[in-house]
Amino acid sequence: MGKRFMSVLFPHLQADIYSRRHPQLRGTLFALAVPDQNRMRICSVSPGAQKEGIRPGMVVADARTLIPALQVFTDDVPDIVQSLQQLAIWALRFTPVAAADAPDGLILDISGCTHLWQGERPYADCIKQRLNQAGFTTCTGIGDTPGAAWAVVRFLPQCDILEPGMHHHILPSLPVAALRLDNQLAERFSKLGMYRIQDILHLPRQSLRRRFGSVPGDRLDRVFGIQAEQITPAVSPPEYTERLPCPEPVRTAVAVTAALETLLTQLCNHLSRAGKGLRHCILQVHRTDSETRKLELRTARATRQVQHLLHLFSLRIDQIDPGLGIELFTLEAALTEPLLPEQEILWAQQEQQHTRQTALLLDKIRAYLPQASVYRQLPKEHHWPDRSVENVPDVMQQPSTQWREDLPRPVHIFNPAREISVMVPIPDYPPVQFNYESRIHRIIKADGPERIEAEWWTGIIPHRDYYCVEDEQGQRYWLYREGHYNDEHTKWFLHGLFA
Amino acid sequence: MYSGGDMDKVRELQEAVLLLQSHSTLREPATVAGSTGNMIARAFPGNRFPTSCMHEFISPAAGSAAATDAFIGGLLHTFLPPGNFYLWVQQRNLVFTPAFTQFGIQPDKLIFVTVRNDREALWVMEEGLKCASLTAVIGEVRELGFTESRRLQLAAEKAGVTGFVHRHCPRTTNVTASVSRWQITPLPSFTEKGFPGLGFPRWNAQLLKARNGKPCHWDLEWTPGGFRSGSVPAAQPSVHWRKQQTG
Repeated sequence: MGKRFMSVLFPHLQADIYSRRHPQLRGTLFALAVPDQNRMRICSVSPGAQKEGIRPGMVVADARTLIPALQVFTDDVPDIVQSLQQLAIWALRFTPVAAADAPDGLILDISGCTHLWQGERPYADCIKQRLNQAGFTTCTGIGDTPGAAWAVVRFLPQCDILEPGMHHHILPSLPVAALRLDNQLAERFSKLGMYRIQDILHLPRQSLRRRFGSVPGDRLDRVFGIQAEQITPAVSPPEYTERLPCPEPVRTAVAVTAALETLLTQLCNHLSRAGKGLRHCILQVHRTDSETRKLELRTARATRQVQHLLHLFSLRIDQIDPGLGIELFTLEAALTEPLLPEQEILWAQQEQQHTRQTALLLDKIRAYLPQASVYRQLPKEHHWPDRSVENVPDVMQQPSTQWREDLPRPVHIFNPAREISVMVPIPDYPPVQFNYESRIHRIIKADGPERIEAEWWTGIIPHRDYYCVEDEQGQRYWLYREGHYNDEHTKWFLHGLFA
Repeated sequence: MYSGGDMDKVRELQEAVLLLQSHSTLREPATVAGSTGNMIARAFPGNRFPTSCMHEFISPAAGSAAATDAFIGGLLHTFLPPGNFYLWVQQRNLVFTPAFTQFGIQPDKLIFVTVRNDREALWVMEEGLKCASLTAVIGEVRELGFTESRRLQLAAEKAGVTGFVHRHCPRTTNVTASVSRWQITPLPSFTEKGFPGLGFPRWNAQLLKARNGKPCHWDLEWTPGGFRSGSVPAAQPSVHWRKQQTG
């Protein structure tokens, strides 16, 4: 089956968004204007004003002479790119690939989507109706290529769906501008008497390129599907995704669990066929009031066990606010990892079994307490204490280097280190007493210094001279002096507590 | 007086009663834990350090919290089998894992969970204690009621995981269902006469409560070989420790 694309045109995009924000403007004559070379130029007009002859691009003063009562707003003009991006994300409920097509439309890749709506016409009607309800004026066009769909919606008002293959017959009779050429280029063609696409279709490409550059040739190839056109989706579709539309909006936790189980079973079946396991998945619920809610789940190791995943989700189902009802569930695998069937058999072995059980426990903790940090520390080859360990979330990861056992390190470490005031009578000797937590600690025993330099590439940080000291109560501390002793502002810090 | 046969019978009966009182460790062979390890174990019924149960530690000050964490590390090494993961539930990111190499623990076997309050910590601890693949669960909790401690104790007994609750500056030292209650305070270390530097870590370990056991207190020193009685300086001074520091 060939590809099918839909182009959605918003002729009054900014004005529509503006009247959505200010409902009292609906149905009135108004225009939005932006400053342009010391004049106010209209950038978008309401449908009513358009009928009266106001066009985008007019100067506000000219428009006022046509309609003295025209309301012009210059503040808070909606941003086109951002609005189109939001609309493209909204359109994801109709197709997985939706892209903003600045300045005034969307391009949807609808291949294989329309049968869910019993055909292209009901599909297009549904989109138009939903957008109209939301207050947008729209036209849609469907064709075999993005270029054909674009041309249909803008240059063929009487027909909005080009049947497969028809673009070869219909498009050549359209004006040259239907090739998505800029005004300047279209004007040059018309000056030379080439008004329609058929006039340039059979020109030798070489001379076309010599006179007009590479753009018209490329556009021709793309419109007629000789060269495939890549569209950049607003949200790149994930590798694996499952959708479950609901015939009736659902609100209960039981229904959500049932939907989740269906989705997880489908997803895990697909993953199983591809030999992959899930590390990160996102459940999105689309509500009837056009809001979406997200639930993310990360696992400690790749898995495709439906029961385990369902259990993890079920810990957090109560966090989904169903609003007035959920009409569509999507479950996407944001991160997958190879998981071969052999690995599942290996799990039966004792040690693997323990690791797997531990991983399942960590999944549960992460799912129930998403804000809790779960980590292990692995050694890194750095002397600087803060950098000598690395926090990793993974239970499987093995240390890449040995733990050092030859240096005294404290059991508790303060991050950041706490500044203390000390008394040091002899340079380069440990202090005789220090003040910490409003108490004076007299140092009885001390050891050191152990000088630790920061790596030169991390910037100019003064070195540290670490001392292990013990006070009269027997508590052991790890102190350091920043920089050299004879510096003007020598600072001392308490970095940790020994056992 | 009992004759020899009677003594055996009495011991059997005692063990049966202890088993009913959830001292499940009696079924396992006694751990070989060195002389000082045995000294600690002798305070508990059956001369065995109880595993698959909850131990409670109370630390009144920051210094004693560090000593307590280190002491727990020593207990893990001395009385529990190595190999599997330990779950460490904390509310402050204080623990510096490289220190645990000196207590014979592979620091990458510790899994840390940082939570915000006691409620979350207790939930994570209970889930951890239910997971038989862990060796031990260490949790930092400030207040521990009897009900919560009972839940933890039951979970530990069921899955055979040993739990350590570290209560830092609790408001009340109420009754809990834990098998033991400890308090560890640091003591000045021993050094060889005339030599500078620090000795091995030395603590005063008080076993305040032991279910069916004898409350005791010891002065203990942690040496690379394990626990050592720390009431007198060692015959061999802590040369090792000094060698570590001078390289």
